Amino acid sequence: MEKTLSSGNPQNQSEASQPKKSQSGQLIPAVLRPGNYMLVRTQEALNKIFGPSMNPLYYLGAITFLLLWILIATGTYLYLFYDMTPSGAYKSVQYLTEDQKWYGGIIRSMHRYAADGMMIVIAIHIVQVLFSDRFRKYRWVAWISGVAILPVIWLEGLTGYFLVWDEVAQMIAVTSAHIFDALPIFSEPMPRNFLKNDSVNALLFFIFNYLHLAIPCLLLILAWIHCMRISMPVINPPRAVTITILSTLVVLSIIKPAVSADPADLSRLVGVMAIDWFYLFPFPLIDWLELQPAMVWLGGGLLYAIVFAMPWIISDPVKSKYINPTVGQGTVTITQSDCTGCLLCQKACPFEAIELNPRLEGAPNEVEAYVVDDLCSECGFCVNTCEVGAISMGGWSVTEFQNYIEFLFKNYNKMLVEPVVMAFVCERSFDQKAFFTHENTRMKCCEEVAVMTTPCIGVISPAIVDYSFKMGAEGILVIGCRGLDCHYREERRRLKFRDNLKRDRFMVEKMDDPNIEIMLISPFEKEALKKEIEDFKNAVKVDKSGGRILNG
Amino acid sequence: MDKRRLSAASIATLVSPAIFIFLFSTSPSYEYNKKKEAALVVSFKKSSERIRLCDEKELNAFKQKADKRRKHMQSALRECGSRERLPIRLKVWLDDKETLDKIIYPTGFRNDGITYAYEYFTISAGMHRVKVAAVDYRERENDFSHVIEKEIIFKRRQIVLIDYDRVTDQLYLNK
Repeated sequence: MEKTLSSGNPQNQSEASQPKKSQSGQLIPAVLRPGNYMLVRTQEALNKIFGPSMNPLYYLGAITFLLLWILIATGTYLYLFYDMTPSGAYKSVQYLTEDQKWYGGIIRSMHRYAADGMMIVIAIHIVQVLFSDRFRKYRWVAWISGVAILPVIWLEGLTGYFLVWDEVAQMIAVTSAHIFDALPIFSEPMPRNFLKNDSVNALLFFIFNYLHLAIPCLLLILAWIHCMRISMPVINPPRAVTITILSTLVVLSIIKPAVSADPADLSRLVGVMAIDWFYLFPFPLIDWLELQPAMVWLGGGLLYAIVFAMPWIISDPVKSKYINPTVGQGTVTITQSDCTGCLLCQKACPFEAIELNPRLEGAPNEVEAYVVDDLCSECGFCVNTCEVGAISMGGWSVTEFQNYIEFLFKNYNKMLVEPVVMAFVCERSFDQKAFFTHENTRMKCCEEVAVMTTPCIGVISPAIVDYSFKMGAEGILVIGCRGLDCHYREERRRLKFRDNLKRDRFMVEKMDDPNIEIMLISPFEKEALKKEIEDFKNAVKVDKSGGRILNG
Repeated sequence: MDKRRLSAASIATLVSPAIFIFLFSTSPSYEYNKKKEAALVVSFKKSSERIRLCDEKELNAFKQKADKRRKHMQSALRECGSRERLPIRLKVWLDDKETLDKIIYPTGFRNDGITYAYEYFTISAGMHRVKVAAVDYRERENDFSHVIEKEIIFKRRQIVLIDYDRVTDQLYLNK
């Protein structure tokens, strides 16, 4: 990103060196902006209902895991009673459904509805990831593995439906066989496996059964890859959400038990069927569009390839003149001679982009940190974690941050009023154009508030906060995104994570300081935010004169 | 332990996707094959003739070679003649109208394997005159060695299969 401030020499930084205008929405590629707008609005609406800490949109991955555990648990029970033969499969499923109505039947229904729920959650998750622009660059592995998971889950669903061996299974088997037959790899036409009732043999059932059991193992491996580049991934939803989802599945299973269609009969065409549209929608689609098997492979393959390549198809937005060159954004570098090997930066990194090397001979500490550029999101979490200033981003280390704060408080344009509050603002949560003035060094609504834009508020460390107070700030405002709206995943949790670090213990006290306020907002809360900022500034001023104390 | 609670409104919102599952897990129902439809399937597997059979000289040489071997090793000898087999020409007429005329090649890189046929025809239920003919196909050959011609009553949604019996070397109706 463009950076107009010369790092390390704030004395030479003029106000003109800050951008003239800014607009946070410009950070999202243009093609995604309408979707992003809808997404943020929806997240906002759900935040009002659930509160940011319980909003299910922030736990979609975790809810998918929950549904997977339910599927594995219920599937294990079903498997105990399943007869793996063409003649016995249908009967064994019927036995579970009818003879064990109040336990086997419910478990079967839960198995099926959890699978349906999984498809819904994954679909929303894809939309969310896409429109929040969290699939490109350093996140490509998560996208690719997620896209790979999708057909695997679908295939798992299909094999599950096959095992019932009812008319739905017959439709899946025969149609799939015709589609597979288009691939020039089978010597015997695949549909010949389903010519007559006695041509379906137990081996075929064994294969499908094996697939249905093996695919979840593959799924777990892909899920591990999906999460591997994220430190502190959320894999369990809040307890209340878990209980609600489980209860819903049980109630749904009682109200509408899953049942089989008529048993498969290969001497007859299948007729009217109650199909599960979450998994079986391609079959009617192929039928309606009268697609030939080759077209199914070609069209499906092309569509899948496009989805697969999305991180490389959608490029960065063209830099608008309104975009604020955020202080310190750019490549992260570590000065090895200064690194003490304390590991704090490694713990702070949300994408595990900091790795350790054995320390060179003669140095007191055992390891030294280095940055894996491909994984680095340039969020800046590590920069201010480093107390010795060994890490810099775009040329900015903790020293440069401190120097800039000094510039804001000591060397500001004397035509302006004296700053009272220091505001650290996330570049993504904020409509900067609407809020900033005086070369983006002050808030429009209240000029006593000096501002510094950072890639994420997770950047803000105790040292920075403390230094702001030293420079004369009476209050500190930290304004960031709400919950998992954070582009870099939960900046608030990052701040809390910092609290828990032993060496940052004094920050715990600072966080309770009434003159520090953390505001987690959405870009649409302009008026409310203006009021909050004004209230905070006024309260700080009153407090300074010995008046009321803020609640924080 | 996480003791946060959900409000009634949030529970209702969280439960709402269940309505989609309730609705779309079984409905709308889908008619995959129309009520008055039936199907004719012509499918068989057959080993066709080799493209070039043994002449007398080759046959004698082969026999001599085979005789020199022990009995259980004789089958390991490749038969004489060409390895490649003939394709099969398959023709289907429905109600005296030619519906399919296809040449199907044997499997294998050298076309030396079994020939598989699988053809699927959707037709309306009722009586239809079906004629299926097949032959190990040499160029310009118009006679068919295997023919089956029948008037068949197709019941609604019935699948009628015409197969090949290796023992009798004939096409037959497998109802």
